[in-house]
Amino acid sequence: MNCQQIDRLILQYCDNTLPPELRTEFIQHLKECSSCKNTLKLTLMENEALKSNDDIPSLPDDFTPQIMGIIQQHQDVLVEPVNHKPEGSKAAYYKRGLVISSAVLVAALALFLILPGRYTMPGHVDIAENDGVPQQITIEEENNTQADKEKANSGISGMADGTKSEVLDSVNAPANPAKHLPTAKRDLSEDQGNQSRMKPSPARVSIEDELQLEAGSKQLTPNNDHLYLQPVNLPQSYKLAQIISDAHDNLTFVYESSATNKKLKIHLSPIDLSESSERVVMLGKKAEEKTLMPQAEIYADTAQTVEEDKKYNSYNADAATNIAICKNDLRYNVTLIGTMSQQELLEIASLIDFKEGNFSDTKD
Amino acid sequence: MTLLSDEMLACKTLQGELSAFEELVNRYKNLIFTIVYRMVGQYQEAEDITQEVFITVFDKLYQFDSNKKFKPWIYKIATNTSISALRKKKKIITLNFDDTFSRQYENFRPDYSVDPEVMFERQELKEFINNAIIELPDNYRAVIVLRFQMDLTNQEIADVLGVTRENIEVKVHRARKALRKILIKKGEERGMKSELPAN
Repeated sequence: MNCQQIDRLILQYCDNTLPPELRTEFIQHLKECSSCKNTLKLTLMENEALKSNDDIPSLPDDFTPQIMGIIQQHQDVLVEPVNHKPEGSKAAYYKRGLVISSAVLVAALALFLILPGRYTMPGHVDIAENDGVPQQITIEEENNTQADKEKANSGISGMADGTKSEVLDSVNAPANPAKHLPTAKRDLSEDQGNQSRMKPSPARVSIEDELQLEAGSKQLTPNNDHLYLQPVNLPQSYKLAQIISDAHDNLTFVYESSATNKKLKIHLSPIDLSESSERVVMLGKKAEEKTLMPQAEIYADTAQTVEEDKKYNSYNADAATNIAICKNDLRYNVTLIGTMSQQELLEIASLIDFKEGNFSDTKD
Repeated sequence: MTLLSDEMLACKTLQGELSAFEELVNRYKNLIFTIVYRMVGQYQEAEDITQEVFITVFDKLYQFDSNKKFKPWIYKIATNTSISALRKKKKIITLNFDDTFSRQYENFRPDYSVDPEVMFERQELKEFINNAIIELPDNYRAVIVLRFQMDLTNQEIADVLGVTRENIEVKVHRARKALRKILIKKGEERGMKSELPAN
């Protein structure tokens, strides 16, 4: 053992934590080296001096009462605004209330005027003939009664509860759209399932709806006035096969790769700020920003999403991920599900962008 | 009340019993003041910071995990509050502990051919050391104070500072090196130069 090693082990020796074999060598070296012996002596003296606290002054006797006084005051301050609302502020308070009420009223009016252009009224679905002329049919709304449950048990899925559904048919319409309807139905259920994580809302549709949809070799097209976010910049081989929409502004775009037959589903769901504002603030501070969720969140969500998807789809998805995006001050949670590796899905997620468009855009 | 553990007292405080917090203050005020005083080196400032520590503890008590020990938690607040106060005072940002400062002390290995008892009288050494601690970088100071003044193990310091035990071992070693260098410098300044061999 040389002096350098002694220097490195000296604190361990002083702490009595040196392994026995090293300790023997250590002591042997000290016997032969006066410099290291002095170093040890100085270290021990330093230890003693460092541990000494006899120079530390005492706190004043009233230190504890002082602290408790401050804490008591602190608590009073916290309680005060609730108990003692200044009289003078009442007018301003009511004035502010009036302003807020007016704003809410204006917003409601605006929604009332705008929404009919974007969506059909509850209970109505726009269904277009193959020639693209919109035809409106009425879906009978059903309440969530015992009868509904029985229907549900008999394997009929659908939508209800005042929710309306628009199944927007594919651009690359399949030869027999009815063949794809079950997928659409499952998609709807899944959409509702995803959505239910935020807002529980069971989905149902009547038998008539089911039949009408199935009979609908009719293509289902959206109103051209509908504006929605649409994924762009996907790899070229991915062709849009289907768009599914529901009354909660949720949109699902189903893509199929012509080259590999892989399927990719992109589900856009507006984020309810009142329920998940913290997450949104974290993920979408900048407008027009696309943010991959933290890895931990991705993996937490992935397993569940894939599992849910497997329940509802004829194909087995094996990858899923989430993105949060902000467009025009609206935030969306985007879920990508695909029959591909997680790596491949993440690559696609990093490529895609979103732009506002309507159905005619999609057709292009 | 005096028989209750620190953790129980913390829980009782959260339930609204201020007397439980008073007991915690009484138990820890001298320990916390010791840490803070060693960190800042001035009585009045140390007293103010100690007050701040207890107010912070009260405010953040809801964050305390009652399954863990209270002592490391309050020591952590004391250390962080002291470092924060020192940085505000100096208006400088101290570099990462292990980077710049540590390197300059790494190879400091004087040859002690003189008996240290001849170099320093014990009382004098204490004064030198207490002054030298103040000259250490903030993070070195925290480790030295927790390790020697508060007699914590490396693992306990690691828990307080939120780093690994191995990291603390390195830090303690480097902090001691730094302290030794300052100490030798002080000895030299005092006129020990002739007695100390050149490094």
